[in-house]
Amino acid sequence: MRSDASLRLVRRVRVPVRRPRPSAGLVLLLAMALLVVVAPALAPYDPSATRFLDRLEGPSLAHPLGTDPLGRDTLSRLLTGFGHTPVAAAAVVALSLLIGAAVGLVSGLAGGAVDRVLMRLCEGVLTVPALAVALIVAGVLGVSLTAVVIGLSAVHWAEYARVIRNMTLAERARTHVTAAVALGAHPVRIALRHVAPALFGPVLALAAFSFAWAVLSFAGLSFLGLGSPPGSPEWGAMIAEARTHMRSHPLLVVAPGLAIAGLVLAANLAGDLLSDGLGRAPDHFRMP
Amino acid sequence: MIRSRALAALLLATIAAPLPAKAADDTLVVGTMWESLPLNMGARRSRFFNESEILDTLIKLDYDMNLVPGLATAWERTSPTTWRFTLRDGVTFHDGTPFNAAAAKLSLERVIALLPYAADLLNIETITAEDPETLVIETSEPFAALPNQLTDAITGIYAASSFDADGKFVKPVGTGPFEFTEYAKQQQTVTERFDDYWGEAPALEKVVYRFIPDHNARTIALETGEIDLAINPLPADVKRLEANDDTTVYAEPSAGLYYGSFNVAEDRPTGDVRVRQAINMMIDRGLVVDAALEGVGLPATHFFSPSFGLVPETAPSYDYDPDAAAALLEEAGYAKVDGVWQKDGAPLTLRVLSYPTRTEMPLITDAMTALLAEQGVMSDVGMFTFEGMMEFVKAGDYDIAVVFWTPEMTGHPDLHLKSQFHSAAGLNDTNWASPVFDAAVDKGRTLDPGPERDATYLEALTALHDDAVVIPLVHKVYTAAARSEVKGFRVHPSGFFYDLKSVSKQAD
Repeated sequence: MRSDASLRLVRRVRVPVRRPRPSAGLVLLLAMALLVVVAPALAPYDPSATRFLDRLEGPSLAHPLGTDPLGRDTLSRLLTGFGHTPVAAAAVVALSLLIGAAVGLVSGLAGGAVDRVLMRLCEGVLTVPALAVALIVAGVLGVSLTAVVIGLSAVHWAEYARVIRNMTLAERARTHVTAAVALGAHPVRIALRHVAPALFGPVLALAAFSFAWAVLSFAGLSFLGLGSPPGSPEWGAMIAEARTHMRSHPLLVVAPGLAIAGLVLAANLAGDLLSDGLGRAPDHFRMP
Repeated sequence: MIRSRALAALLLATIAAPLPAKAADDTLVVGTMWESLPLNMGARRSRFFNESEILDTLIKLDYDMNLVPGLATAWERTSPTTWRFTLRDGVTFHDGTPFNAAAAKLSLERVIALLPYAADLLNIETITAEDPETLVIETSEPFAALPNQLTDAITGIYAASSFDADGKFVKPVGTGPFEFTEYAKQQQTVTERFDDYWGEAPALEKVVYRFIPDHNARTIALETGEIDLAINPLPADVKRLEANDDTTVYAEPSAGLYYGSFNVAEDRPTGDVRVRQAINMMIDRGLVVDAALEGVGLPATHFFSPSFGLVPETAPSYDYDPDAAAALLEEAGYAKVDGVWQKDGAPLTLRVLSYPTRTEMPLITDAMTALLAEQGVMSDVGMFTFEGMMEFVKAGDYDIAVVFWTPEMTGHPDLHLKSQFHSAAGLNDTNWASPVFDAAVDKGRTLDPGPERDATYLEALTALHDDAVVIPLVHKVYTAAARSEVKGFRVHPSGFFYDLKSVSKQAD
């Protein structure tokens, strides 16, 4: 018995179990967005400025996270990295959402043959691994974040399309939509005015999860040398470069690793909070 | 270093579990960076046969890069195009068949037929087995470099049973101290002692080449005793391995140059010789060695390493001189605006290509471009697979390709100069054509060692230098690390030979 006192304490302190508020998730998302805008500006040094005399230094006041083999300030590179991966991941989410919403709404509202064709198309697309497509696009367009955004979105939109189509079907069966149809409203009006607003919450939650997925994919591709060009302060690329000094200077790997982990964790948390409050996102969308 | 131990343990748990037992005393386990491909004689990987000592070449290089007898005990040039080789007596192949002139002829002819670049390397017109101990080779032009080229591992002598009825390669059967016994794809190759070896019997019974491409995993495997010898440890790990009582680091200059190869086509910024010269003067090679390789390398200002005395020491070079570089760029019409060199309002930006499959390439490229950026020359870096990079290079879509070659490998200047920079060479992607250089290189290969040959190669290297076709960066220092019970290991300067027959394992 470690201590009865602590057990008693646990019993006494009642944590009120409450349904988490969706606003907390929204706040978290906004905070992340703010970080993306502000962090790069906070970098104390030029992230690509080399100081060969200060190479591989440990943490100090001048360089809180030390320097890399070329003497570049790790903290500055980490902060500048907020302008790379998260932005590109957000672009994947936005692009996929746009295409996915259009296809999903049309499919769900039109039904019949249109629905069947579009959904078979989605299933076809989803059998292709997104990373493989990203590799091919990067191979054709050359290594750049744009290429990876296109490659990942080319597959990822189908996930959104399927989810939005299913929710649209459910929404369409509701009386206010039936009423709108009965009143002869234009299909576009029905889609945007009567169906889309109900999807907003769940889709936002879904976006948070898929953002986390996109961040991981980017970091992975950059680690393989396919996302950002070498030498750029992208977190995955930073880890790849620091591998050679992993044993002697672990901070060079750990710092960008924690940044990726933190961002993915925050995005997943935001997704959880939003989906608990606003309706569940499908489980298969959750990232580990 | 609790932190790094914990990290090592973590890595090991993910990468190398479960641990095989420690190898027996007469078995040496080598951890390699590239996979040995004993069932494939193509390309670079065929050098594995040399490294592993399955095959012997007719002539070998000693530790000072001098020619020494291999399967041939003597050789002489009886006319400008004729070489006579006296072959070693009493040598048998691993399959029990005898080695003689007919076997050597068959092997060399198979190699030339199967490997496209072997013909370029050797310039052989005809091979004649005059008697069992005499091999006569006629070259297609006067060719003094032949004995050196015959040290290249691709010319190793195979027994007839290495090939099937159609002449296709099946497996390596040679005359070396170790014979090939087993290959497991992506895992390991096993060789065992050959008891009828013609030279001194090796102490080791068995050598296992384990393929561990991840540098960190390979070093950890050495530190834990899972392997006995690790090839190419990371420069960043060398210091720690040196400090460790259980491991010994072997580091020696070896054939190999990391260099930037310029595209001299007129429409590129590097088409102007003054720009190429300026870039040569802008980079402190010592900083490249420190930043990219933790000091494991020699700063290079010459094409050939001074360690081997292949060429006269009087060969010219560019020294680090930022002021002279700036003057050259101004002369070329550039002006420095806000710390960046510009011409007609556009910054001087170089398209720099390299490939990350050789671990140190991105580090060296990074260091080079960072040092250029300090001087106001910008870079647009592209990393591809080697083949991917070569597509851009062949298309002329680059300014500098950062590459690694082994110019000193056969101990003769001809190999690399002729194949990379001669205007007729298939590998010359620099768009550089110099009649002076071509003539000197064409002549150099016909000359016996001596003052005339030295003067001729000096002429070639001066042409290469004056036009600043390359920017030499680092001469290779070959590293390997072994458990301290491994005795007798030496780094061979060719960079393609382990000499494991002299190696034994003895606990202190």
